[in-house]
Amino acid sequence: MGPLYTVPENIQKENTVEKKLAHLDKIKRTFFVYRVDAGSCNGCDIEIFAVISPLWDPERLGFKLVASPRHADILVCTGSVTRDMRYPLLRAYEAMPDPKIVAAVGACGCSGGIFHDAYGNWGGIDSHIPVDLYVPGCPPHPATILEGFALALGIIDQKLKKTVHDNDDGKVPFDGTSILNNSLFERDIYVESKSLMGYIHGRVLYKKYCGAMKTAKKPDDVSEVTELMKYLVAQEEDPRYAECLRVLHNNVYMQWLDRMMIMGDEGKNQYLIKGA
Amino acid sequence: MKILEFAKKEKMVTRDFPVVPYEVTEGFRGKPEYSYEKCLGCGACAVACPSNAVTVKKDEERGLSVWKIDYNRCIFCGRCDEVCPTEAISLSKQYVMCVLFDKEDLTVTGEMKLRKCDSCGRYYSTERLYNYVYNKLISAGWDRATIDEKAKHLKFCPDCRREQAINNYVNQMTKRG
Repeated sequence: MGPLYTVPENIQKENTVEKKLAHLDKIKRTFFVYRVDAGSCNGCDIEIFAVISPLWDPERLGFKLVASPRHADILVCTGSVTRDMRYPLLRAYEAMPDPKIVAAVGACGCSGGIFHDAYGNWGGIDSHIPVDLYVPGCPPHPATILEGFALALGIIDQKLKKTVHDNDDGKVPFDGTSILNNSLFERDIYVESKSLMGYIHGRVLYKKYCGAMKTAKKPDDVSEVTELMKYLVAQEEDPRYAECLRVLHNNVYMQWLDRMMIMGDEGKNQYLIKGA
Repeated sequence: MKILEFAKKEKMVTRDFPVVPYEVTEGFRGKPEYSYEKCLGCGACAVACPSNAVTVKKDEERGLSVWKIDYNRCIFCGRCDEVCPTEAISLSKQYVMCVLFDKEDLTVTGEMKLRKCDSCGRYYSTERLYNYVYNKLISAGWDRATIDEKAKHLKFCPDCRREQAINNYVNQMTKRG
């Protein structure tokens, strides 16, 4: 498939990077923005309206929303371009005075986002018209959008640069130390923590449990570890972590003692920690 | 007049944003930060990514596995964070990520050496993944003979491994008669 739209020559001539930068320098104090919704889910639009609220107040930077593209300096486009909204987008683009500065807001606007391979989607904004400012996010945070305008106007500098890592030595840091001299125990604890509390809190739980176990002098001594865990459960402020620490001790740790033939079924009950 | 009284009572709510950085809350889903040192190149993130922002491609000519994230496409769902075995990619609190003119500034690429299969000589996995799995095997508390037996299978690509398994089985069956 060839290009969907080629920018006419007279517009190309007026829209070189130098002219755009000169124009951005000129409109530093006040810039008029026209917004096009080229088929977005409205998430990005709501965030743009959140930016115009008093909490962020972009008017102190000179931001002004206008109702016609003929008055606009910056065209803010949201959404992956759908078939129906493509032509209005091109009309708004051609109606803008030169030099035209186009900002793509949101993951869909930048590259098609999660809809990049959907059938009704015609790619991001930049597959139709040239885009100058990319504001990624799904939807972008108001701070990100405001930062984008500040970046375009030269108030702040761009922080991200293209990064390529290519110094591979084939090695990866590996911590071979294990509590019970068997990394499968850590794996079981990790899996159980994740299934109990999800990946974010599960990792915290895993670190709490393993941190406490590392302080134990003899991790395979059941009475010492039980005392330690009882203390940890009692000290824990968040009842969810306390309950899950208890489950880890009663289920995983006790099972491992069974497996390592340290302790049989008899006398097991006195080492289980009871819930509150 | 009522509004004026109200405005007098309330202090100014506008943030001095570009000058003073905005403080995000706990659990904010910001830019996924990539740590090249920890990455294994296993590709779990690329499988999990719903919008294909993370891609892993095999570069046969240079013998490299090219890991790439495109923040243009990222929807900050955190699936890559969830599946990563070494926490090489995790959501940070970074919200500053606009770029001017060049879209490629929003990409991070990591290149990792590939490993050849000992039997057929095709690339099948990264060197890092092999080393990591081997270290894991050693720390799993088996005796030396078991480790060697298991580590033998690591050096072959999935196709060769399957072939060997079938051959072994056939040999055993023919020996038995």
